[in-house]
Amino acid sequence: MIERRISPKPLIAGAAEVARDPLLPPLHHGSHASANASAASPQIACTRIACILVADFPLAAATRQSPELSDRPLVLIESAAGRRGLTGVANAAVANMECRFVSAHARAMGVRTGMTVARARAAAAGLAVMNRSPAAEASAAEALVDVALSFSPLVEAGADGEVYLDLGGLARLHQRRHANSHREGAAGAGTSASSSPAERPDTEMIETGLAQEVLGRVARLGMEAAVGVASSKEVALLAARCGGARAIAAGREREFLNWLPLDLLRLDDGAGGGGDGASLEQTLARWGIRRLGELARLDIRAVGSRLGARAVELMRIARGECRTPLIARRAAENFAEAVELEWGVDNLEAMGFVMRAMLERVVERLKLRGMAAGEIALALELDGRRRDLRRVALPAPTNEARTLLALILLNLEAAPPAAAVEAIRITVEPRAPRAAQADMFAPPCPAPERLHVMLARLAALCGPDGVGTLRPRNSHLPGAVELGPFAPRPALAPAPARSRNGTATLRNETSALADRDAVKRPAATGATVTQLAVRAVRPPHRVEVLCARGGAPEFVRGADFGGRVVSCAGPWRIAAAQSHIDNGGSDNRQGAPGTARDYYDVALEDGGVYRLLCDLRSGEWYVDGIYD
Amino acid sequence: MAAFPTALVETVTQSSAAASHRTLTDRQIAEFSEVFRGRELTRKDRRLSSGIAALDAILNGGIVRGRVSEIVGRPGFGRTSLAASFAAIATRRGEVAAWIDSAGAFDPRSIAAAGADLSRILWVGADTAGRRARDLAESPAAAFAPARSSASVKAGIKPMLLAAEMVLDAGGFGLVVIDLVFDIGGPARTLALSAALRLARAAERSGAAVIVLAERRTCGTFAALSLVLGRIRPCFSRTAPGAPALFDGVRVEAYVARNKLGGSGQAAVWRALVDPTSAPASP
Repeated sequence: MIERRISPKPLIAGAAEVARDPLLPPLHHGSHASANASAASPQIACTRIACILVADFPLAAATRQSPELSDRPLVLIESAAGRRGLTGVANAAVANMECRFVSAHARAMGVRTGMTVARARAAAAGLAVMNRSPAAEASAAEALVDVALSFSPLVEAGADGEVYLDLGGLARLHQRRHANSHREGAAGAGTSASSSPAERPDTEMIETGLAQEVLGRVARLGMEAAVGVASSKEVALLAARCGGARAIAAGREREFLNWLPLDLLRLDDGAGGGGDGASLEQTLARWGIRRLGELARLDIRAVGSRLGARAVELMRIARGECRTPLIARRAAENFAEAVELEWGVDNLEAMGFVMRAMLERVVERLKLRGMAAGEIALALELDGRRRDLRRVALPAPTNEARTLLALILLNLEAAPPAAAVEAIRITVEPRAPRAAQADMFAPPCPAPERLHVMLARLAALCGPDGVGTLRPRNSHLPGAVELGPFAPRPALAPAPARSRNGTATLRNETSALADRDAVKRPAATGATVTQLAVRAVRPPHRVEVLCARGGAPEFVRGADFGGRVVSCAGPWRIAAAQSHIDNGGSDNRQGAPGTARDYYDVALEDGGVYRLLCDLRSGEWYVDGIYD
Repeated sequence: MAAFPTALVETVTQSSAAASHRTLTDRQIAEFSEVFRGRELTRKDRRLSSGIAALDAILNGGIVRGRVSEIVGRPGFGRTSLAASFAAIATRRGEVAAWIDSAGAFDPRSIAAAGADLSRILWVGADTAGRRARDLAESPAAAFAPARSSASVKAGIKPMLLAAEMVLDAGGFGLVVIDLVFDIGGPARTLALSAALRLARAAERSGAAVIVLAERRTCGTFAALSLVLGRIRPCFSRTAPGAPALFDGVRVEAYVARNKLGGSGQAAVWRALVDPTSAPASP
């Protein structure tokens, strides 16, 4: 008998006496006195914790960046050549490297961890071999945290591919949604929906629904995960390791754990135990312990004295007693995605292809958090260990990946990188999208969010200097303009007019409802004289001008137009130093090159009236504008 | 504007049982119900006035919202002044306007002098896309091959239409002016009929009044109104004999070449002056 050989006392004992033993390591914060007691008293307020677990996380991060690899057998190696992946490593060296991570597809074809790449390639045709990318894993880990933060503000990032979040209280929030969907389903099926307590969804069902929603959001970010919900991190992790979406009701952890195989503890991973994990597993196997329930029934004091603190910790996990507190982290202030390219990219089209996928992932993360992209920081690692850092300003927060990509490409086109790009890191500063309540009685205005998106798209189309509010610049030159941001003030609805009996009536001359009445009387409001506008010619169009003896233009000849001057007005001379032109006269420095121009308004034979200018310094003539 | 009456109509139809609590008058309800039942998104009586009495008289009050109106004429015939008048009326009413400029010809000083609120006019310099492409091709950095799909190489008329569609899709704009007139001496720009159709549909969806400034009629059957500006007569004057001449303005003639929602063939005359405040009483 195993028990007799290990201990004179039977190993199976009550947990209450274990908890009273001062020789054993103390329980973690938040643990209860007894697992049995906690199981028997459901009224104990338990924190509900969910664990998001992505199995084979390095592989998941790699396939998230290269989704086309998800259908192929894939192995990851760890090359000392660095981020350049396999291109910097000789083929022979790659063939001798060990496969560190093997995808399920490759595993099914006989590839195992620890095989050399050469053997793996022989076993699996079409095997994809990639270098492990810390940047991709960091981005994927941040994405998982974003998913968790989209549900709860209390989130802890665990080991690779593990994220814990506090679901306490969320079940009540989602109960209404669950009830609504249930009611809609009942209505669709033709049955009457009822909200009687008997038909109300229980907490476990709601939590399972929450877990499934988490799974859906992780899938939107390009990964497959499993979610477990329980009263402690350890049990939630074990539930997640079972796969799918699983919620363990409070007080029923022991019942769930009893039948779990010991393998789920991942003793061979050596987390916290180093090489002891394998020997511990062997020892437990020698004892005939295959399930957590069997482990939990052992005498914890006796096991502790024989196998050490690690075994005691495992026993507490198996009993559902271990309650490591959730250590919340602050939400990231930026959203970053990084890609290490296997080859240096030296054209924008290929870069656009890579960056489009990166931006789509960033945008998806932003959407999960209810944010919009505010400003983009682009970090490029170039060939020759050079770096290219640039910032791309957005005219307005937006979540359109296509717009963001167009703005980045415009920036890169304006100042291309000096060498081929080997790694790209896109960091997006989030902004809260603006929202406003429209006024029913005021003229319609663009909704702020749609306006911002539109401005960003226009800036991507025409460039940031092609969109905005054009206004006259404070200058002596008539054609000087400057561009400002377009931010119209919301139109104000006028105060209600008072009728004869003193009651307020919503009569609004500028409202859409009164539009018809207003235009029925055009003669009352119209005029017979309007302002004559000028079409600016930018840049001024150079022409030849023949002048009379007095200096007035007589004939104008340009590249595509010209004619005899029928009437002429002018000249009006503008002579100013450059500082006057630039600053409207506020700066009176002497000696700066300025301008001296004569302006004429001339009517040509074709009927058009043009604004001509003569540069007195060079003697050249230009068309500056057309009265239109 | 399309979403606004639809929401009202839905509200009205849903609350027909509680008629005593509604705040809209029966006449307004009838108007919106008509819109709802007839699937007529544009209403003929929803017009944007130009502020010019003679023109508004022949246009039955102004150009129709939700439709494309083209103002056609040679350079200097008063197209920009007329568009500025519409922009002034729209922005003074608190609406937001967009001016899509193909040649960088928007002169804010004179548009503001026409009475427009510049802060409510979104200027889109659609020529900058083509200019960027030209600059890039001439720059020494052109060796770093630009992306073929980049927006910067889409020179020509396509950026203008894309910009117009973006503006109209965003909604909330009361007026969109599309200036198709090219640089001085440049070729006349025309719209393909498919582009005009897209523009007309976008205008109908948004409910905005769309004005196309062009040298000749270009929108074909998809323009609800074609206003052709005729030959102008510039006016110069002298304050005294022998004094330097002054340019006062022009006399603009317009006739309705096509009007789907009103009569055509009528003409109007008005004056566009450099300084309207000094205009004499009669034309």
